[in-house]
Amino acid sequence: MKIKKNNLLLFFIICLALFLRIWQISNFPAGLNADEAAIGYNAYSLIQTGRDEFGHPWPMIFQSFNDFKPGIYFYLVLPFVKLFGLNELSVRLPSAILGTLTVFVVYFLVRKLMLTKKSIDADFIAATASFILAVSPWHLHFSRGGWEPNAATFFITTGVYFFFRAMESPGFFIPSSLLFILSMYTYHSSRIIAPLMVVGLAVFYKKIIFKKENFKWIAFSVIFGLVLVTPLIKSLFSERGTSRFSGVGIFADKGPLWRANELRGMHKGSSLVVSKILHNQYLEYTIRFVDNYLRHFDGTFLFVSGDEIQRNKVPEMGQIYLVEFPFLLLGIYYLLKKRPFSQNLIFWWLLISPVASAFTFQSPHAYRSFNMVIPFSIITAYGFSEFYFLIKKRFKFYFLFYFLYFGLFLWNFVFYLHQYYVQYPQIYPSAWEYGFKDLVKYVKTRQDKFEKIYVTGKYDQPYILFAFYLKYPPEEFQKEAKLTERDNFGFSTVDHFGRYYFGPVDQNKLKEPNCLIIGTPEEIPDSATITKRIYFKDGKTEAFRIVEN
Amino acid sequence: MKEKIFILTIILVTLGLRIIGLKNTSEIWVSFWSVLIIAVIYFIIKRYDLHWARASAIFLAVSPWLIIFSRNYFSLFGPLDIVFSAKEILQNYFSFFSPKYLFFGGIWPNSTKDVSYQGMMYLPDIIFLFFGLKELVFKEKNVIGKTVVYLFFVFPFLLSVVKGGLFFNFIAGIIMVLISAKGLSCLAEKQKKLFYPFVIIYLLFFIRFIDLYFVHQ
Repeated sequence: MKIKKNNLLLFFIICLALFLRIWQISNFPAGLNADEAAIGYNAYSLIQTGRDEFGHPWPMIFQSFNDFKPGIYFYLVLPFVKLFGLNELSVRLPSAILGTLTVFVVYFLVRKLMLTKKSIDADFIAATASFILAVSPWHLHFSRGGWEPNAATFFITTGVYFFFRAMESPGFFIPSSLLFILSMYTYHSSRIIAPLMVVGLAVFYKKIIFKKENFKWIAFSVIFGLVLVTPLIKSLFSERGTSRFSGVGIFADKGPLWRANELRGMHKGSSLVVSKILHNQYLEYTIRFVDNYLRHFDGTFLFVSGDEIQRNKVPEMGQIYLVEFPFLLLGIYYLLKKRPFSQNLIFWWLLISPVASAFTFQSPHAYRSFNMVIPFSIITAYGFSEFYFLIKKRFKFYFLFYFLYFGLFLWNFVFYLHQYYVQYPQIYPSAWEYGFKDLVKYVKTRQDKFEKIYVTGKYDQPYILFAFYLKYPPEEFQKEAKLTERDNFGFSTVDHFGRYYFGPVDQNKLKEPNCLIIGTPEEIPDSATITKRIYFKDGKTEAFRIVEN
Repeated sequence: MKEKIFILTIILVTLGLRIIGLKNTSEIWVSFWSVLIIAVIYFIIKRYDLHWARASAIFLAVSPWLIIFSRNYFSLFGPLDIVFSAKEILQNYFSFFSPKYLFFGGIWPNSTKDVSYQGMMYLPDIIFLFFGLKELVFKEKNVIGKTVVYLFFVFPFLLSVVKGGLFFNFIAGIIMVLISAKGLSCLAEKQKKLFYPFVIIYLLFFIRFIDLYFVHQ
């Protein structure tokens, strides 16, 4: 009977998780961002031609905007593009499914993590953790877009789960190893997090796993893993591997270096050994790294206002519900006090998750540190569960407390949904590049009349959104498109294909005959003969103005 | 005798760090107040835990927060304002624990020039804070330990709700230093392998602060 009750509860949680992840997924987030369009169009290109947008046959790492995106998510999207066509749903659905599966896996993982904890019910903690993850604003946000970190987090979580299964049946070491490798081929951050996780697992559970009877399986998994990871290691030392880091890495910001030089210069003898010890780039970059790292644990980031990048955040929301804060603290308290079997692993998971993000100059970054959501959910669930049983045991009217807390939680949850579905498109109308779909739909009806079509370069990578919505024939795109030189952040773009030209719109273009000009309100003044205006989702803010010459 | 030498050394270090370069008499008086505060705290804690008392005296003497405060004549009590916005209260609360405030930027009073790149504490304090808080929450049974933990959780609420003057920040700064000092004494007793490397790193950051304050200000 108990098993049935737990299964029913899990079924309810999974249904809720799936519903929250796929409802209106094509329309919310409002728009389609350039990375999602790149994933979709490359999958489309592979289906049509067996090559990516720049003609590379079946790559494992996609050149895209010269940021060399890891390829697994592209291949996950591919069957959906084949099934449903090239649209928002096809790009986002794999992420929503993997997000739901993560909720499912977390249930079984937490049961394994807490199984030896006898004082309270492991099933209860597992159900609470998967429920918290199911409704987590952080996890929902990245499950509803075509985001690679969500897929990578699923692989890592499942890899950890299989590791625990391998303690009972060593054959599971192989799928565990495979999943960690897959995560590394899915997202950049996982190339740091997955190996650190493996090291943590090996160290914390060395007495359990390093047994004679496991040796064969561990050796096979290590060799298997090394073979699979070799191409990735090779690529890390090539342009493909270094380009991304040189663009967004901590060393791309020369501030700490200049600061060290400036401070050293203030000493009377700038070559003094003391000034070199106190002011050097190694110390300054280390301080910057630690600063970046610690920002991910800032309460304002976690509970009040979230990430600074509009695409990664919902207005007036932190990454985690504020009402979870007391239970997160309690969870840490009980983990330290009761020291359950998995205490070290949960803390380790939390501590390594922002490491990759801290190596970049934008911190805190909800996207790159996405893995934090799993340990946070587990710790909060543990704190809540311990408190639940404590109150239940000691107070007769304990249900009044839960009634009150449930009310608060529900309020916070409804507030989030309101912010996400109603306020987000109004407050940050351009965050998801809304408007391109309507724009391309309009342009398609007019394009044959013009020799050239100029499109503003104000929004991120407009070429890929045009190629996506036009369903531009990939074989032609591969011949016509050429990447520009890298910008300061290491990204390139395509400035023209076919009759489409992308870049700033100036006065000269506005006077050019026989062309269609698409610009922003800042680029095309009211005095121009505007034939069409395209609005953001809020219906008030203009995204594009179109001039026909 | 050993104790007397320790106290004398602390007094000299405290005064040295607070008086060097000062010309204004009122600022010198503030420095003496600082010595008195350290002495009072030392003797209170000593009744319960000698190692913690010593560590507290050392950390209070070299705390960047207290050094700067003791070298300037600040008004601790400004006009008080109550914050009513829930969002602002939350932001204030979390900002007290934010790494920017604690280790990287601080909130130095307007009347001093910014002490660039220095928070209210030294970066290695983060380790001491962790060990200190863990020890105080789980093991410390005496009144002073419980009081410090209580103040650690309650004071930020006051800081979040009441604006004006630096009094609460001043007290909160002392509480944080005491927790950090507890971490130092705990490491010295239980984790000797970690103790010396962290003390060396701590010293490096202390010298860095002295350099930033006395040379680069």
